[in-house]
Amino acid sequence: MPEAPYNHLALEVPSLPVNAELCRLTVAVFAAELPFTLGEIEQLKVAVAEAVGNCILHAYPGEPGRIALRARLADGAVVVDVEDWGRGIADVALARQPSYTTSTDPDHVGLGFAFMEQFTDALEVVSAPGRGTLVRMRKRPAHGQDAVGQQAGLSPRPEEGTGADGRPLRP
Amino acid sequence: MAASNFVRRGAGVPAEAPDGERPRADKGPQGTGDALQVTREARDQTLVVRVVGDLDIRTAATFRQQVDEWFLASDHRRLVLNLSRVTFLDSTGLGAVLGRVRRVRDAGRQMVIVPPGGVSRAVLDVAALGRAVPLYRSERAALDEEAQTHA
Ligand SMILES: Nc1ncnc2c1ncn2[C@@H]1O[C@H](COP(=O)(O)OP(=O)(O)O)[C@@H](O)[C@H]1O
Ligand SMILES: [Mg+2]
Repeated sequence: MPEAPYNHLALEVPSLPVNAELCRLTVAVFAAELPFTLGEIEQLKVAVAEAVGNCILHAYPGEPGRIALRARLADGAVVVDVEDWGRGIADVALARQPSYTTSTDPDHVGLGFAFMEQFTDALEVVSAPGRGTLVRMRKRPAHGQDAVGQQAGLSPRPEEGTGADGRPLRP
Repeated sequence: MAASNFVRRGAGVPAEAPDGERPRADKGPQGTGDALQVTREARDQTLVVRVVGDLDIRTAATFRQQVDEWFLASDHRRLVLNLSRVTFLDSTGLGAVLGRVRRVRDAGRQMVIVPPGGVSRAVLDVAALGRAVPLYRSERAALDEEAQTHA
């Protein structure tokens, strides 16, 4: 039986600072379908904010440009793409190093990719100078049911309410 | 009407607010809106700055401007930065906090931080904030400590 991802979203926004919040909140609501803890959702929000923030700060340094946000549920995980068609990254491995930044602002810490890596399960970055950048992140609930959402049409939404520790009440 | 208020306020012109509602001078696509509130309270040599809301790519510049104006351009000796009610922190917000730590130290003054909880705390910990500046559980603890050192 072919595996059907049962929910997905696609959104396009200009690279304005206000849209970092729009994107992180959108993904948080989207991902709440899976049995993530509140802490895991917060982690996902930081990761998305960093990816979108980089489009705003680095991809389009002059005029605002297009940012595509895509998310899908697949195989019990959420997969988030953040794509731009801006200046691109010449050396992705170097850019991903903690504390690496090309910003001249002394307040820039160069930890965006480090947070994307730390707060998701997998991070892929594909980029070409002058063409743009695609950041793909995958995150799975640590205590979720296995392979949630593999059967099309079966909602894995946990029962409402979470425990004091923010975990879903369901085991 | 809502749309014209939005633009007018975005242009920095104080809007007439209905009873009980504050004018939001910086509301607008580039402003911080209600996302961040920064307030201060002077106590002798100490300035307490409280940050409530999201400290992120949209609001970090406002935060840094406020702290620099209120503390660095004043003659307070000690800054208690209360971040306990920060609801979201990204690397831009983190950088703004670390930048204040550096500037306060360069000015030969003291700074302590009351950190937020949860994932925002983890964001601060990645930068080993606790090594750069004393962290306190609460604002009261930070102020009590000061009373002791001055006693
Ligand atoms: N979408 C992007 N477009 C172009 N350059 C990027 C993009 N994302 C990241 N970069 C490059 O990678 C570097 C590291 O990114 P990051 O770890 O988020 O740190 P920071 O944003 O603080 O510089 C940036 O300084 C920039 O040179
Ligand atoms: Mg960044």
